[in-house]
Amino acid sequence: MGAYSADLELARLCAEGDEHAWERFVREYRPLLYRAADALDRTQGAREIADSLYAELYGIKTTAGERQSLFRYYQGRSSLATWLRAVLAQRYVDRVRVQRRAEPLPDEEEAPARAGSRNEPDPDRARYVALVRQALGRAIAAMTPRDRLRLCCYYLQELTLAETGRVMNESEATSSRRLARSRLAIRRDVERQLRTEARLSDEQIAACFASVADDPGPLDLKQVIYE
Amino acid sequence: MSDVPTRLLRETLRARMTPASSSGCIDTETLAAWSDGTLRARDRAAAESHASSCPRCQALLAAMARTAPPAPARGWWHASTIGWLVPVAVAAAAVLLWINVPAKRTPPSVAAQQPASPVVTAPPVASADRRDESKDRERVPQQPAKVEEARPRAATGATRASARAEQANAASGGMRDAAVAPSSPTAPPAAAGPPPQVAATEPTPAQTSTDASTVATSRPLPPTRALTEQMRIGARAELMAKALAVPTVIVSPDANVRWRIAMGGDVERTVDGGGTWEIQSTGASTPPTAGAAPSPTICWLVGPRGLVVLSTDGRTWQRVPFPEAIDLGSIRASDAANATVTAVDGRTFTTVDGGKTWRAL
Repeated sequence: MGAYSADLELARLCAEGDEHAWERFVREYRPLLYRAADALDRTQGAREIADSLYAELYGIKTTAGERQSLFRYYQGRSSLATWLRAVLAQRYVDRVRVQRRAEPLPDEEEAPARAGSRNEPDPDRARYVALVRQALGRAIAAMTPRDRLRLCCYYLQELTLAETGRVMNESEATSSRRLARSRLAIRRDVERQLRTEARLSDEQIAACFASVADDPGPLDLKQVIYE
Repeated sequence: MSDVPTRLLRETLRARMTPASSSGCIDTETLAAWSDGTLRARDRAAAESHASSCPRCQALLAAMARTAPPAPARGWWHASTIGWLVPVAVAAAAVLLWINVPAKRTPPSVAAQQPASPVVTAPPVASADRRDESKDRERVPQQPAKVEEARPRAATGATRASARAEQANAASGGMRDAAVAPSSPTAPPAAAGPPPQVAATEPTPAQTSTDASTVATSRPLPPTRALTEQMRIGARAELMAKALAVPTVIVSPDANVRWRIAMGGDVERTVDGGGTWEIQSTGASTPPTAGAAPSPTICWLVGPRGLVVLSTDGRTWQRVPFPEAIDLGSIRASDAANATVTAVDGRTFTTVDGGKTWRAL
């Protein structure tokens, strides 16, 4: 807490309407906020949020004639700069999520149905795909939340390895290594389930993987890491 | 055998996501603390557990990662595989130094027993004296030691060639060499430009520059070398903390005019060689940690979170905008327009227009 006492003091003064503090805040933190906004959205969409954030930070909203600033929520558990980025990130993510609800689902969401309805030459293919999906679901459920979060950061949020490492508080190399290890663990767990629970032979297991391997997707970890 | 397809993996991960409910999501403070690495382990584990199945929180974390400022380049000594070597090497070097220089070690003196010594920033010099380090080391202080600062001898010429100034220059030159690197007595004068900061001995205001017979060194060499070693391995943040623990003195080319950053962060100025000190307000909320005074009326100060202030009249201070809120550890300046600052992460920035614009070097 003590490490950010200067930031807390600045936030307190800004919340109280101290003009000098506000000038200093704008001078020091506006470039930072704009940089963060540009990193989120190059089309100025996030900059609009950043600008509107200034109004709330300044405290134009009045309750019973009293100015209330967003600064009052800053408790000094992080630097003021990081807190501002967090506020901006929340506003931006929530806005994007609201916008996405109104949009049609992307093609990717339709992929399972499309795969299932395909006219398969192999009569076992549908069963194999279902078995792999089931085993994969269990394998991922058995992972630790941290490993699962790392996978989500990389595959769902499509962060780079460096960004994934930043989220996980580990180096880029460590993230890369652990992602590869998770993939391998998933692969082995799926194989084990197919062998011991579905009682498939090695040939059938190979056929299972071949059934689901025809669509490797746009992002292949092995390719990213090892090639 | 082939791997699980990435697309299938993504679909399965997505299928595990629970519908976002902002009530259970990571709040702003926690998100910021996570990003700064100040979250407690237990809180972090709980947040990770939630985020592993919450699409909104994952998006928030992704946004934080995408907007994070670039991490400062880490030195080779930070590599985990050799990280343990650094303290071992420093300890070994300190032991070797201690063993190798026992005869030249300064015996305990009153000055050596004094708890705090100021950090003195010498003014820019046109040509710096190079002294035999061993000669300085062998001097034994007979009384609480004094310190004087290097002066722009070439620039000021004979007017500053008094005996007191000569002795003072000799003293500070020896200390500077001891603090930076041993140099040959025949080495050519240093080029024009500010010398590095000097860890010097204790000057009380009344003692400084009043007694021509004072001796320069009061501290044995190994700690100074150890300090240099620390700087070399990149412990700049520690140095900043140490600098705050003792007064930092910034000396202008006119040795009577100097500034000091007191322990509480106050900035003070003397125009009579330390006889009296006038408190000045820089307007900064955080105390500066280092400075440079290229003239008796011009002084630059730097400090945490991009703090740069400048005085061009010796009395009043203006805040100089700095592009990044990073901790600044040192500054060199040749006038009110040209200055170079070094951040504690090792990056260097320079300005040629009094701080209106900064360029990373």
